[in-house]
Amino acid sequence: MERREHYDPEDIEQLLMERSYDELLDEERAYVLRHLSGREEYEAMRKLLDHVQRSEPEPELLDADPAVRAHVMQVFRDQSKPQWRVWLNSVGALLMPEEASAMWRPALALAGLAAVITTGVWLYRSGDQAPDQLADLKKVEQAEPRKPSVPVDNAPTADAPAPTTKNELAAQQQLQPTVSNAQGTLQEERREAPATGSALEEVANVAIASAEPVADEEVAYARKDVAASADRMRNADTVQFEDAVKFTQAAPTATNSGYVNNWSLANADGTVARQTAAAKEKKMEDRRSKAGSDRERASSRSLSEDQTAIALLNAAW
Amino acid sequence: MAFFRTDLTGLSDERLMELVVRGDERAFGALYDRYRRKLLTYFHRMLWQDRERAQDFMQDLFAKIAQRPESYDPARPFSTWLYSVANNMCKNEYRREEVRRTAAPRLKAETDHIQAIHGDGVDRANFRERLDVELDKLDPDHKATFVMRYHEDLAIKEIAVAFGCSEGTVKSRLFYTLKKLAARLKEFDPKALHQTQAPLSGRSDDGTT
Repeated sequence: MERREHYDPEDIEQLLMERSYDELLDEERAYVLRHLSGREEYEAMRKLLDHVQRSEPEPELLDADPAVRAHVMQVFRDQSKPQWRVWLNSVGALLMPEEASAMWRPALALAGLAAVITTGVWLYRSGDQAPDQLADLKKVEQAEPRKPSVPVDNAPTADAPAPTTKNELAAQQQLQPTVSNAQGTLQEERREAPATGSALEEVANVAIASAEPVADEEVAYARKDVAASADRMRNADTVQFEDAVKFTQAAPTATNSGYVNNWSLANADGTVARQTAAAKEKKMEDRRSKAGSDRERASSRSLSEDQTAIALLNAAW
Repeated sequence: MAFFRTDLTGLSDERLMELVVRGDERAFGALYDRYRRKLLTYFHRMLWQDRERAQDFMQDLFAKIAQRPESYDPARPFSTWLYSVANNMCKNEYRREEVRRTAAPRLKAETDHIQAIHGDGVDRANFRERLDVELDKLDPDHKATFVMRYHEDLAIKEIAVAFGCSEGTVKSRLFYTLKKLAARLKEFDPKALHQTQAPLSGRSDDGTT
């Protein structure tokens, strides 16, 4: 029983290859007959197996085309060729040339590399040996505090900004005779009224002196205003005269701040300057007309005739 | 450089595959030369004796190995792994060409069968042709098992590893394939032919053959 179990159906192949049906042992034959119909089937399988094992493929099938091998090898080369290897190959070809006469190239390259490294190390070490040089203190001359070239409340005429526009220049030129006219009027009045002339002259000088630091243009305005104030004093009461003096003294302060504003960055593009020039031109026109009327009034009316004003001036001085 | 060049012919398949994984082109070429004929024959038998198709499949197989050599499991024998990959490729091809596989070869088989019957004896070429036709009619696993065993001379153990099954399964497949083919191709056995024709010419009285 154990012997029969030793032969499984799949093990019949060994019997087919080794023995014919007649050569089988009794136990083997019994085993074969359990799985096959009989001798016929057993022999048919045995013949088939023999034919199969003896049949060889056709000779032309034994080998493939050389193109297949070339293609497969190319695929393998493409796949197994990383980029870094190409780079490494180029480096190897550079450092190890096939011709001995070309060895000077890698030698030169290595020498240059060594020189660069040596220089770099030397520079690094030389930098480490004198670290205090990096912290060397240098004497810095103390800059003297700049003297304000233009006093805030007493700006000199020379430092005054030049007229920026033609209109402003023309207005300034027109104002010159006006001021001179006003001064001439004052001189005439001094001759006409020596008693009050000195007082007026001093008032005018004070006004002019206070206006000196201001720009020429503003000086002209100030002088003109002084002249007008003098005229008004001749004709008006003391309050008007004091107002005129206050106005004359207050004018430079306002003008200086205007100068500061004019030189600010806001005036860099000239817009503010142009606006200021237009406003000043308009103001000058007004003052010119006003000065003209004052001159007319001054010529028609003399301060010496106004006894009240003279009395007030004397009392004030 | 020839001093450092190793002789690859004495190396095993597995060792060559290790070199292939490292990018050794010569090892890959050696493997190709070892298996190109076997694989070409295998594909030729498995793919309806289409030589061009068999060549294409062999090229594809080695291209896959070239592109992904790391997919090989070193724990397995290389030949087993190679045939398992080839068998899977054939199975996929069977699925794609199912219609053609069932139409064209059948007509061809009918013709060959008639020629064989009218032949005088065992014609080796005819038998081979007829055997291929009958193999195409079999289940793909049975066919592949038969081809691996009797054409590629793989051991039963190797076939079992290639298919991922037990050795008993392989033996069983072989037994039933042999039995089926023997029944279909028994006309190539002169004795069987004689025994088949005998009843027609002179039947015995007792009715036995």
